[in-house]
Formats: sequence, structure tokens, C-alpha cells
Amino acid sequence: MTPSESSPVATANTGSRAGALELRHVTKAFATSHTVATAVDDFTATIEPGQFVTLLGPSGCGKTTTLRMIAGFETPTSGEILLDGASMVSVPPNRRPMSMVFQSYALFPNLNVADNISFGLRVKRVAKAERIRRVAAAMEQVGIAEYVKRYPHELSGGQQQRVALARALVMEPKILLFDEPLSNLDAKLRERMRDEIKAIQARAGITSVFVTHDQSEAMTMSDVIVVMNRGRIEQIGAPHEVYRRPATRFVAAFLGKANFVDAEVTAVHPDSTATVQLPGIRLTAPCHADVAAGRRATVMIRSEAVRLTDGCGAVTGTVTTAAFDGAITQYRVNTEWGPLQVDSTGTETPRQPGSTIGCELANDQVWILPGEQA
Amino acid sequence: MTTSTAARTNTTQTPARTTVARDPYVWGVLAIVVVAIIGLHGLPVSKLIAAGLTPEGLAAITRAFTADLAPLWNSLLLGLLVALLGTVVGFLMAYAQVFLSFPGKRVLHWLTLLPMISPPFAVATAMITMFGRRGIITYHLLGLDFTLYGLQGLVIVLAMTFTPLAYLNIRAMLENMDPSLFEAAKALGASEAYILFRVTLPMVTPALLASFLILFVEAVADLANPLVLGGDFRVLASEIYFAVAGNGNVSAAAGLALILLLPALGVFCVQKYWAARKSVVTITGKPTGSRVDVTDHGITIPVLAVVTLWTALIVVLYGAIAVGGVTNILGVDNTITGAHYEFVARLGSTAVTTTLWMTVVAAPVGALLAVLIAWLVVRQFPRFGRVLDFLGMLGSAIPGTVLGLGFALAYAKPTWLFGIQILPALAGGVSVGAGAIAIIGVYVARAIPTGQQSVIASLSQVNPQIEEAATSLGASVAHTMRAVTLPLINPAILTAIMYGATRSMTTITAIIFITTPQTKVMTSQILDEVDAGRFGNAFAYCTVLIGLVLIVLGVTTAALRLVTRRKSA
Repeated sequence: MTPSESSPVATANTGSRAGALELRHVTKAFATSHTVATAVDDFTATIEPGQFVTLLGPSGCGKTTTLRMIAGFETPTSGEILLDGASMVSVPPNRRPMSMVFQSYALFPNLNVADNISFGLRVKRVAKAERIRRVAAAMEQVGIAEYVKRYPHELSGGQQQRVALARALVMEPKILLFDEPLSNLDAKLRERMRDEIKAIQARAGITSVFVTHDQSEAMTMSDVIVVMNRGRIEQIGAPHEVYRRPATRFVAAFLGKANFVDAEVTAVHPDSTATVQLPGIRLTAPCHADVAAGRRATVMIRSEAVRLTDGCGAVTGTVTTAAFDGAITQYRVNTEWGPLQVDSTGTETPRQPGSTIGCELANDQVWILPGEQA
Repeated sequence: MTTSTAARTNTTQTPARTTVARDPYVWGVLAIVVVAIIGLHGLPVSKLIAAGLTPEGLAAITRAFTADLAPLWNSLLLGLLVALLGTVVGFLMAYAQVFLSFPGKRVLHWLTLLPMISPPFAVATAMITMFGRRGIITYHLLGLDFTLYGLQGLVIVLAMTFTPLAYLNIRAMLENMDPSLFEAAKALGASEAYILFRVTLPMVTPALLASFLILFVEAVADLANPLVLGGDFRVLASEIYFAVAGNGNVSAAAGLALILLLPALGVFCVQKYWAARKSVVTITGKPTGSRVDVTDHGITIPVLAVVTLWTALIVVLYGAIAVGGVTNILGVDNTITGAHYEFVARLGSTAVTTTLWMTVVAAPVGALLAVLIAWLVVRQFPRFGRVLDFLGMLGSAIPGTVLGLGFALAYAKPTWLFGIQILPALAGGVSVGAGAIAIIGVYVARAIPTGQQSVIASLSQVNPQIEEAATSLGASVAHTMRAVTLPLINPAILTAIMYGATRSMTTITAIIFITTPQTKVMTSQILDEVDAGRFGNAFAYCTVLIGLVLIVLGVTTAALRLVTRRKSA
């Protein structure tokens, strides 16, 4: 997967051992007692060495199954998984040069921190001196050097998370796999670990595949995001692409807050913009390649693309609810286009429910998608 | 956010995670387990069925249903009464333990369990001494002309023997009930009596039913007590014994054993697949409140009355065993003597050592098989595993009489496969190891089920991600099992060994057909002494055996503590 603007992190630190991963038409179907459920459907993507790629989607979208197929815990029903050009499908999970960080951390409760981290090195029969050196380096890297003799249950969630990360890093894998590793942490710690994991990954330059259902995690950490829904890939792209230029209405709705207004396309322009007829106004904004003149379209308006005014604007309406959230105020406004969600960063005093206001649009933050097929 | 489109897929995405092409190691383990199950259950049961379906066997079955209906009828009656009494008492003991507060609760718990760890004749013999025709209490104290032999004595003795099973079962369920349920009921204005009948009882109904069924099967299959206490009261189990021991008619015995086997298997299936599913108890792990003791005298007085009476009975009987071992003839000649223990030391020492070494061999082997089965069931074969689970549990579903007879039929002669002799004769005096191998086999078969249950429960608690982490770090299947899985389920393995050892040391019904003069087992020695009317010797034997079981329990419990302490240290 090659986003149009590849991140500097991805190219600068590509270590020689970082692996290139390729998934070709990977499909996984589970046979249940009466039906066949397709968990992953025709997943095709290429991950460059050193890239940090996130599989993002709601629960049950197939992201974890995809990760587990890469790790080798599941076998694809069909398709091919290649690491540096070599097929991995018939390689058992313990022979794949990949390490996984689990949602539950999965530390061995009967082993202390040092033994947990050196477990994989012992399996590989790495000489003792080197083992000690590498374990110490890994612990240093994640900042847990002082906990050598502690047992997992004596550590906090964040510390356990670091041990799990060190245990994976010490193996010097070609691919690092993360299965929702932050979901068991509280909000503050999650943000800190997010930044740390990203920094460590960037320094080590290891190709990483990260699974999450949290869009802000995906946006802040990734070079590339793969948005999945119902087993299929909805879109592959850099964070700003999937946010600003979503390929489907699902992607638009899953990342951030969006309003959707149905419209008629009057003209498509050569600079990838289109003009649409909305109730009461004509609007020209960037559009998806599939938008065609004379067809229906869905206009996506991000909640932060709307500015409230005292009367004039693209559309007028009545405030129904207003919720002050510190940095922003969240409004719901009833308009001729239907109810709009508006996040206002304005420092003006919150507008009262019932007051009549105008909504002004920042046209470059509006995105025109092809209309839903009837 | 519109996620309604995504939410719909949730229902389809709950498949069991399957592993990649299985490691040869897994197939190796499966092969060991399958061979063991065939050897321990398959072969004996199929030989028994074959023998039962011969003309002689069929004739015995027909006779049991037509001309000689008494044993069948008696067995059913006995089973029902024992199951009823045992379940009621078991429930009351469990209820008192969980919901009432009174002094000596811990002691009561161990007293309730005592019959489970004592040899089968202990209670019966003590009953005769205390409550028989010339019993200390019935005759000497109260001057009653009361006979214990027959249905009345059997019901009490069997209920006493098997009540611990009901007690454990029901207590576990009562303890798992969410205390907030009772708080909710109270907050809604329910009285304690109302809660007992409308909340507690309905919720433990599955456990009550399961206990009832287990007790029924155990009571119907029990052979030891009818031999001692039956008198003219003939039951199927003792008929089987007499068919072999008296007439040497093995086919007839096998036919009668089949009559026992079918309802036992039926009950087993109902209990395992129906009662388990009916369970309404929510096991959330975290209690949401604390239990408040029940104090309504309308409940506490009747419950404690029954509990006290039952406990008194246990104390009197076990007191009789302890005292009877050191008195000449308890109740007749109460002079203190060391003669009985001297007898045990002189003639019984080989039986003691034989029982011990066979137990020491059988319990770990049984635990190992239990671990392997549990590992296959929980981790390797999520679907086919249910069949394996069923096969392993058969050891508890097949009545002891039936299993023992099956072993005798299967292993008294060498085993042939496709014209090649693969095993020499394993059962009987002239066999290899003088019959010890077959006895150990029975011990192992009987040790597997409880061990398997505890290991499966424990293994299900271990997050599979921990094992996947080991795999992800490069460990093979075998290495993961040894270095990660087994250390995590240590306590369950020790529990399995403990149950296996206890069962082995106290079993008689299952080995009565395969004991040999060369391989003396304590339980059969006790039967000989009881048969000969030398109760003093029997009491001494029983006391020694109970002592040995307690030592084994003590050692394993200490080991268990050590293991769990090291883990939490």
C-alpha cells in the first residue's frame, strides 16, 4: 500500500531486517453449524518495510482475523501471504519471523519480567551472554529496567504492556503484530503508550501491523490505515486521506463526525470538484472520482466544517441541543437539510437551544461521494 | 457515527478459532489418549456387551424382567430412596454451610465429607455394631428389637456414603449464586422463607436434579453394602456378584450388568448435557455484594435440627470405627486390646503396601491422562473434543460393578489383534504381575473423570493468548505445553492426583472381580474380615486406611499450597 504522501518516518528508518509483507486475495471463511461466515473477504494489500499500518474497523470486521492469519494462528481459506516474497501460509506460527503483542498482554504469570522477555531467546537457544545483553537492551528500550525480578501480577497495566512489547522486540522480528494492545488501559495512559509505541517502532524501524477499533489511535500512529468493514477493505490510505477523502460513506462515518446530505450533481469539473444542488443552494466542493453529472450524490460535511453565524450562511436552522465540552461546543441544529451535528470551536458564549442561526460551510472540508445505490 | 451497517456482522463472527495444520505432537497425544480409552473403557465394555448378548446372558436379562423381578424392583426402590434422602440431606448440609451461621462450621464441612474418603464397609459395619439387632444403641441402650438388614439399613448406609457427592455439588452452586439476587429479593419485600422457596430452590434445581441422578446410579451400582447389609434383600449388583462368585456364570453376570449399564449411561447423558445447560447460575467471578446470613427461626431451627442429627450419626459411626479397632468385640466385650492392629500388622501389611504402590502408580497416570484429554478437548479439538470429553467421563458413568466385570472379561485372557497377540493376560492370579496390572487399570479408569473435570475447568480459565504468545515467540506445541500450559494448571493436576488416589484406595466394587490371592488389596481384605464376622479387624483396617487417605490428602494439599504460594509470590 503506497499512500500518495509516504510518511518520512516510513522511509527514513527502514532497518535492513524490516520485512515487506504482501497479502494477496486473502479470504477466511468459518463454517458454523448452519452457515458459512466470511470473516475476511479478498484482502489484498502490500506493506512496505518499516511501515506502520493499522487495520481499523468496528468489532467483527475481520481485522483481528487478518492479523491472526499474518501471525499464523489462522489459516486462510484461500489467498497468499508473502514475507519478503516467500509464502508464509504453510509455515507454522512459531517459525514465522514475527512477534505479536496481545490485547491481554499474555505475559507468563509464572515467570518474572526478565524470564518473560528471554523466553523466546531461550527457545531459539541464544547463548546466555547474548541473551542477557539483548534482554537488558529491550528493557532499557521500553523503560522497565528496574522491574527485572517482578512478576506480572506485581506490575500495573502500563508496565505489563511494556514487558509485552519488550518481549516482542527482543526477538528482532521482521514484522511486529499488535492486537488491540491499548484497549485495556485507561484513557490517559493509552495516549502515552500510543506515543511511546510509535516512537519505539520508528526508532527500531520494524514493519508493524496494528489492529484497533479506535480511530484516534489509528490516525495518530499510522503511516497507512486500512479501513475494514464486514470482512472487506473499504479504503487504504494515509490518515489524512481516509479522513478528508473517504472512499465510502462507511469510512466517512467511522472516522470522525460527519453529516450526510443527499444532493443532485449538476456538473463535474476537471479539477476533481463537482457542483451539487442542495435544498436552497448550489455548492462546489472536492469530489470522489466516481461522482458523475446528473446522478445522485451524498455530500459529507464534517461537524467541524460548519461555522455558526447570526443569520446568513448556506442554510439556516434552529439549535435543538447544545453541549459544552471544553475545547468545543457540540450542537445539534435542525435545518432544511435535516439535523446537522456541529462542533464549534468558537469562543463565543454557547448559543441557547431554540435560537435561530445560520450555518456557513468551509467548502474545502466538504466532500462529495457518489449517492447510495437505490 | 453510523455503525449500524457494521453491527450486523457481529452475529456471524463468533466462530471457534481454529489452529493451523496440527503439529505431529498433537496427533501423538491423541493416539496415546485413544489407545488408553480403548484399553480402559472400550475393550472391557465391548467384551461385557458381547458376553451379555450370548444366549445365557440374554436368558439372565429375560429372567430379571419376568420370572425373578425382585432384584430389579429392589434396586430401583433402593436407588430412588437413597437418591431422595441423600439429595435432601445434601441440600440441607450445603444450605446450612452457605447461608447459616453457627459454631463449628468448618468441622461440620470435614465431617460431612468423611464418608467419601473412607472404605465402603466402614459405615455398614459400624451401623451393625451400633444399630443392628444386638446394636449398642438400638438393643443395649433402647432395648429395641430392630433389624438393620434389608432395605432400611441399606438406605441409611448408602445415603450416608453418597451424601458428600450431593453436598459438594449443591454447595458449589449455592456459593456461585450472585448475592445481589438475595439483596434484590429482600429490597422487593420478600421474607427469608419466601426467598428460600421462590429464589434459592428454583435456582439450584439443576444441581438437585443432577445430585439425585448421580446418587441413584451410585446406589444402584453399589455392591459392597448389599453384600454386608442386604440380608434377604436382593439387588441387581449383588446378583451379579453371586452369579460370578457362586455359580461362575459370567455370561449371566454380564447380562445383569448390562441392565445396570443402560440407565447409568442415560443418567450420565442427562446430567452432562441437559442439567448442565439448564444451569441458571451466573458465574461472573466478581461477587457484587456479600451474603447476609439467614436468621429466620422458621428456617434455621429445622435445618440445623437435621444437620445436627446427621452429624451426630456420622460422629457415632466413626467413633465406633475408631473405638472398635481397639476393643475386643465392641458392645459385647469392651476390653481394650491391641490384637486387631497386631492382626493388621501381621497379615495385612502386604495389603497395605500393595494398595499403596498401586495407588502411587495409578493416580499420576490417571492425572496425566486427564491432563492430556483436557488439553486436547480445550485447546486442540474444539468440536471433536466433546466426544473425547464424553469418552473420558465414561469412567464415572460406567457403574463400578460393570467396569470391574468388563476388565475381568477383557483381560483374563491374552489380547489378540488381527491374529497377533498384543497383550498377555493382565487380570487374574496367573497373569503377568499377578493381576496388579488390571487393578491399576481400573484405578486409572476411575481416576480420569474427576481429574479431567478439574483440569478442563482450570485450563478453560487460562487465556489462550498466553499460549499463543509462547508460539509467537518461537516455541513448538510440545514446548508450549511443557513450559507454559502445565505450570499454569499445576493446582488442578495435583487435585486430579488427590482425587485419583482417594478413589483408588477406597474402591472395592470395581475391583472385586479382579483381585487375586497374590495381589492383596486393603478393601478386599476388609470385606474378608467383615464376611468372617471379625469386625474388630475390619475396624482396625478401616482406621488404617482412613489414616492413609488422610496422609495422602495432607501431602497433596501441602504440595498444592506450595505450588500456589510460589505462583502468587
